[in-house]
Amino acid sequence: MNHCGCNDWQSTHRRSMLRRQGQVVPIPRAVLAGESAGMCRRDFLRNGAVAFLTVYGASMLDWGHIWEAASAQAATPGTDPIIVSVFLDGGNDGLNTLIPITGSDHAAYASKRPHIGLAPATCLPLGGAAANPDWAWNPAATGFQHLYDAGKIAVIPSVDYMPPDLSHFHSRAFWQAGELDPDPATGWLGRWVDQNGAADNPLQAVSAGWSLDGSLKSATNPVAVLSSVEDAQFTMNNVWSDPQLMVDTLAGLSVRSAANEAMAAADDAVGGAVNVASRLSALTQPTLPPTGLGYGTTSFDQRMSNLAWMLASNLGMRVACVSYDDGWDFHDSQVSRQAQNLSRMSTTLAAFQADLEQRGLADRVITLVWSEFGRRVEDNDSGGGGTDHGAGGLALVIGKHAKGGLAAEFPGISDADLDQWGNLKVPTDYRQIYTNLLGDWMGTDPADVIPDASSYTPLDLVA
Amino acid sequence: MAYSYPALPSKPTRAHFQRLLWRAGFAGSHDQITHYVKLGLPRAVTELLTPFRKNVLVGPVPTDGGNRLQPLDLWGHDCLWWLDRMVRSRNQLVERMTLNLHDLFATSNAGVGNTRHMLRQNRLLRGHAVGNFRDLLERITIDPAMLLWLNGADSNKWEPNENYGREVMELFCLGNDPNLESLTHGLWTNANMYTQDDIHEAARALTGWRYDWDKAATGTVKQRENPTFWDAGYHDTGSKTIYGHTGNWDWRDVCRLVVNHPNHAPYLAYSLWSYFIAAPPTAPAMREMVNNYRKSGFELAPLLKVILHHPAFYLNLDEPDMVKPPIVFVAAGLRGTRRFITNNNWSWLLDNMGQVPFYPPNVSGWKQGPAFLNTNTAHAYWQTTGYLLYQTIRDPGSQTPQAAVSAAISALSHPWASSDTRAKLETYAGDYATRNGPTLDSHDHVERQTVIRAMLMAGPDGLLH
Repeated sequence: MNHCGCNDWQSTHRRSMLRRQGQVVPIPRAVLAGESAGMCRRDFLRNGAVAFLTVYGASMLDWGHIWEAASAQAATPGTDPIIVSVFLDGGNDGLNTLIPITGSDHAAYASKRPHIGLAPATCLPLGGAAANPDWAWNPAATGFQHLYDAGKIAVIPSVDYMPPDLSHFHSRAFWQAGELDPDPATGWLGRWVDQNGAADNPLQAVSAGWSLDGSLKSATNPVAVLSSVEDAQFTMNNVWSDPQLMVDTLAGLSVRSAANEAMAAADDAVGGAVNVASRLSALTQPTLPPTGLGYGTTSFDQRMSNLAWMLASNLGMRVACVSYDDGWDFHDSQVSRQAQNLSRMSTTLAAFQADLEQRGLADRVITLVWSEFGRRVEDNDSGGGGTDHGAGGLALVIGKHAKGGLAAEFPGISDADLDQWGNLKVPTDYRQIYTNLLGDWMGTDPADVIPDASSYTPLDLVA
Repeated sequence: MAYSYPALPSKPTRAHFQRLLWRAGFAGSHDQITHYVKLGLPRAVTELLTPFRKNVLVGPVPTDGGNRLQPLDLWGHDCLWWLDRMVRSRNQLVERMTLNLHDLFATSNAGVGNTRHMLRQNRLLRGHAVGNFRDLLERITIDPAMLLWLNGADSNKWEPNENYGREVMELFCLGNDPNLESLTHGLWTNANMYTQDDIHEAARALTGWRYDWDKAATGTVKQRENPTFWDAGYHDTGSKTIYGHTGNWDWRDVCRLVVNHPNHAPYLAYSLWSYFIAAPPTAPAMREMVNNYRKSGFELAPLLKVILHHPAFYLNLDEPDMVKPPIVFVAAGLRGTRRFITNNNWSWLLDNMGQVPFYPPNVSGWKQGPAFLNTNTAHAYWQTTGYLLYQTIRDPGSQTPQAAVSAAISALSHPWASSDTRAKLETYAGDYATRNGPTLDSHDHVERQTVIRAMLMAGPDGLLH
């Protein structure tokens, strides 16, 4: 895809260049740690010092202060709304997740997908109050059937950006950034945290996993990466006479003026890890998830059940990101592999929703499930059938307050409906989801977070 | 052929050679640094760029629990097999470049599902690590692991699969980040960006390679290693237009057109530079890399030599500004503690740290630099350090705080430690004696030495090179 004539591309290009200059400004850690009066918060912002810290952007604050703030929030049950983002990494095939089973769309589906097309009779109907005879779930997506029939899924059947780029890495970056910038300095949820979050609680925004989700990159307010609360302690073989002195010394090594970005990252990762270990274990008592919810044993199950537990611990968490990263990039052998993923993922999300309801959190949490793009309408015969990169992906908004049913237009898949590459057209821009969730769910102004927000008419996904 | 290189620092210190071995290898042992110091910087660079052909591996063969490795059959042994080469090879730059090329052509056994193919690809990368890139591209395009990973083996003239055609342009050879135009000082241009048409036409041209699943399962060793074959009946012989060039192109033509694309040389030069130097290349460095690479017919050595000669490579020796990738940390940790492969812990530890060889997270490889570090991975670097130090420390006897810190630095083959860190570790050593005295017993000496070494390795200084 050639972008040189595209104004949007060029303007985002310029913006990202400006940011890049800012990134190389060294950040004296002593200043960030609050040990110097020489640099105020505004200077920090002006320097654009977006560090890749684990508690990202938090180093301007004293750690004790951060955790006191988190503890204070833990003491009072929260009432604020929460967004959970679940990313299906690799480009899930929406058309084989939710299958058109009637009319010309189904006829086109069957003829364009001779290798991987699913028979309507085997698929799971869309029932409940928003019953819809034109569509059916992949037979493996039993969790989605359960949630949909209970009126808890709003479906966006063909969502992307224009012009669709078909690159995993660009598309993911664009979704995470909330703008068409391939190398974004901040993510859309990170900017929300900057605008609406607390300056002192990294647990307000959590990547539940091993690395920071790009959506959560913030410029000023802190966010955190957290996989599990256990196994975080700092111990060493043969060190039992005075382990506390070891831990204190390790934390002390990271308190200094960092000479460069890598050193700042090392200082903050080590300092942050020591503090996470000591503070988090003192902060909360482990609470087992309710039983009988149907969680499985995969790492995704562990992340989601951990997340429900952390949400219930009143840590002040407002946004959380999880990725289902077993891969959805099915260029070949799609039917069985996608079925396995859909089965696991949908039952986990159903268990997560039940978990939230049992913990009394269902009125506060909405879950957005998305993938970076959809796939080519016409299948290939690789390994029994697969699909190339395409446009117009499937996104779902799940929750007690999701407006159950189809929530956006489907452009159709007859030849005349497709673009020149045989891809779905894009009636819905992904930012129309964001403006809706930011405005109607979080109750904040989308224009604070999404560039040119007014041009993305919000969908109607939540009640 | 006249190539152009920046002038090397005229009065290098020992620290210059340490930097060279850290970034163009997996850290130098004391003896190795001394060897290179004697050679002098120009010959040291030349030696790194000129692989030894004999007696490449020095030291005991790798084992797991006393048994020899079985990389094809036992979990984690593929990782150990390669790690061993990083630890023992005299061709340090070759091993480091093999890792860099594995990141560039990121192929994961999670998708390939065949360790034999992964090891074959690894040998291919090693054979070209400081060799000819065009030759490497031709071979890796039809390499069995790659044909499985990016669906070349499933692609045919009736239904060309675009996966390889896209990634060979986007990730391996040309790039599509518009920021590259300014990062390469205009040598890479948006105006020359490939298009979706180019991808589709290349996918057609790449058809014709197949994979014999029967031979892969039950053939001879040679067949099992490479069960791919050319089938003219599967190749699209029609006319294709790629980057404006029209012809009945096949896979060789795609490789030729890709390496001759005006964005290729600057993209590759920029990408390789960024494995060695944190700051982006200067305009003269970009020009020298691109010119040497093109003049030489796509040889990597004249390009890499620009990097290893460049003053930016030797900047800030007292304030290193690159993060050690987890694999580098483990290999260098083994070299630093003078250990060899004797167990399988490194495989799962590398998983915790976020970088398992043969299993990059996706086709774009690992996110490098500070992205390797967060609270979770910092803890994993610490945990790994515990295994690296396990049973390596004997009672050093009574030491002053200064002597305890010096002994630890020396025992670890002189890793970088800032003066601030040394001072804090000396304070620790003194405080430890005060808190656990008046006299320290044998255990106390070992504990104190263990902590100091762990701090040097997994404290913030130890994560940088």
